[in-house]
Amino acid sequence: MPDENHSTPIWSRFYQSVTAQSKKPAIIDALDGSSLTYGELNQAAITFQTLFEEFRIDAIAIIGEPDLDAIPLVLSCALVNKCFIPLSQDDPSSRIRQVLDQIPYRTGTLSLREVPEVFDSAPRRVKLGRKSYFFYLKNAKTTAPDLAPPYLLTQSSGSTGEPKLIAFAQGTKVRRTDQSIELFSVRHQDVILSSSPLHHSLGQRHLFVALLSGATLVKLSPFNPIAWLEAVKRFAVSFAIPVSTHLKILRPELERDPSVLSTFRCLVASSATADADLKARLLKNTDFELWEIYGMTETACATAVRFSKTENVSHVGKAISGTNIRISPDSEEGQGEIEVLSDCLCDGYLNNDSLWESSVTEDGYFRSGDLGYFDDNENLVFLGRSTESFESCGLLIFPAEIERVASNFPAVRDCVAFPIPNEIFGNLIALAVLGDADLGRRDLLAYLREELSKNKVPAQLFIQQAFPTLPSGKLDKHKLMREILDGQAILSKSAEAKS
Amino acid sequence: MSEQALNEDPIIASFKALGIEPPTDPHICLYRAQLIDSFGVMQLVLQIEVESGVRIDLVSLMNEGVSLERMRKLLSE
Repeated sequence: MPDENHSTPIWSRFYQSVTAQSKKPAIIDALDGSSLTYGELNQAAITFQTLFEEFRIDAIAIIGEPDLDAIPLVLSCALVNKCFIPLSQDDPSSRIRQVLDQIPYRTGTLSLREVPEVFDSAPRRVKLGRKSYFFYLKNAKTTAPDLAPPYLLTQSSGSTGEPKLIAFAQGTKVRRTDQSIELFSVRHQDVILSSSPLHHSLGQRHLFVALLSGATLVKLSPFNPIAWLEAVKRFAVSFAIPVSTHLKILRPELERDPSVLSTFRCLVASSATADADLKARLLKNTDFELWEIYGMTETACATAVRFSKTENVSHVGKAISGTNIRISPDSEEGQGEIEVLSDCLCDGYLNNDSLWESSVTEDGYFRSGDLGYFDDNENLVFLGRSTESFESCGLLIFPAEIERVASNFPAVRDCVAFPIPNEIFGNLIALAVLGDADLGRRDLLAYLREELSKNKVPAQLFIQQAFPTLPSGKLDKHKLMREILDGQAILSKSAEAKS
Repeated sequence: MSEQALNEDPIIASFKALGIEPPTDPHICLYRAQLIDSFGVMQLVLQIEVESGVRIDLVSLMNEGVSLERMRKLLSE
């Protein structure tokens, strides 16, 4: 039986919260109000460890957002030094299969619905809390690894569109969590609202910050502005790290009545720069700490800034303790790729050392793929992505993945995915298609919805008769994007004139 | 499907294409009432654009409410 002497980094920290306040709610489901106390969470995590013994598994994946019945598994993995892999239920089966194929361990996968399109074997049934899950065993003949597997694997797309798995050891996760706890002075009295899913690193940050600081986590996923505001009021939320897209969606409500955030002690905007005007308005009308952070899944938080009423709000602050930031030495005139050296870097990409090595400079800085510069006060100003990837709804999009899927549709001769800036979502995913005369838009859309995760399905579709080319005969992607964006601007102006 | 859809109300045809039940209340905001999420809004707008051939202002729709009434108004402008 585990106790306070149990030595795994996450479990021992969690156990401190359990002994200090076992009857306090650890996690609340914002939608139905059900909750788990620290004592109940501890008990369920201990009970679920039998799953690892029974099936002799070294990793457990779960398809879909873990609810209160399943979430103790995250801690069971910490307790017995196994690997936890949260997967999005919105990903197509082919992608889930691709991800699971990369995992070399004897792995159990849980799902609330049968997924025969992902697994060749028949499932068993296992019960977690009140729910019965389908359980699929993969790599059944694999023996246990000599070294403990990473504690957590988080999926991300690479520039090729192939999924990569970002690995975290327990010690790394604790360091990253403590970084946030210290930076934002999170205390056990805090009520933390998370509207990011657990397969996203921000959802993980909310969970571990709450559980390792002894605070209460209010879990709301998927995000909805009305439910978010209701949760703030009902549970007297004091801390959250929403993505800036969520803040933009909340903007009409926040402008109507800024007092809806009166219970907040600290609000942190993340994932792409929040609207400067909205930040200025929040500062003017509220009293809580307003922060903005910059970072990525691989680096955790790299810079942070607490804004004041009189300060310029167009930067993302300075490097935080334990982190160095620089603009790539190869860049000119001070603008270039942002590089991050941090004691909170992830533990590489699973089974892909060469990709990790190419992502890090010889002196250990992570190449972010973002463009930026330092202003006169040494604050980092984020300019956007330097690579072709871009953010939409706070999630990183790699055009190659969308183009690869779209080009498999009959009658698509060529295609280009690119961002169209959007006030609310940061960018919309656009797809320009060079198609045969019989290309059906409806059929193409239905196909894309079937084959891509829902956050990657294009929101704008342009069927072109021809694509511009360079003198070399290659596609002139920038000209194509410019032509389409210019057309969009004309449409917007005519819409403005009408209104 | 395409001919039939063209003859239908483009908004209703779009709901049908996405397998979403249209709301009975034309004033209700589908997004804020949690009937669809933000990705659902984007796909609904795109499908309506495909069905109607009219470009819809997504930002204005999000800010003023993703309701049947508002979508009809944007199509008629």
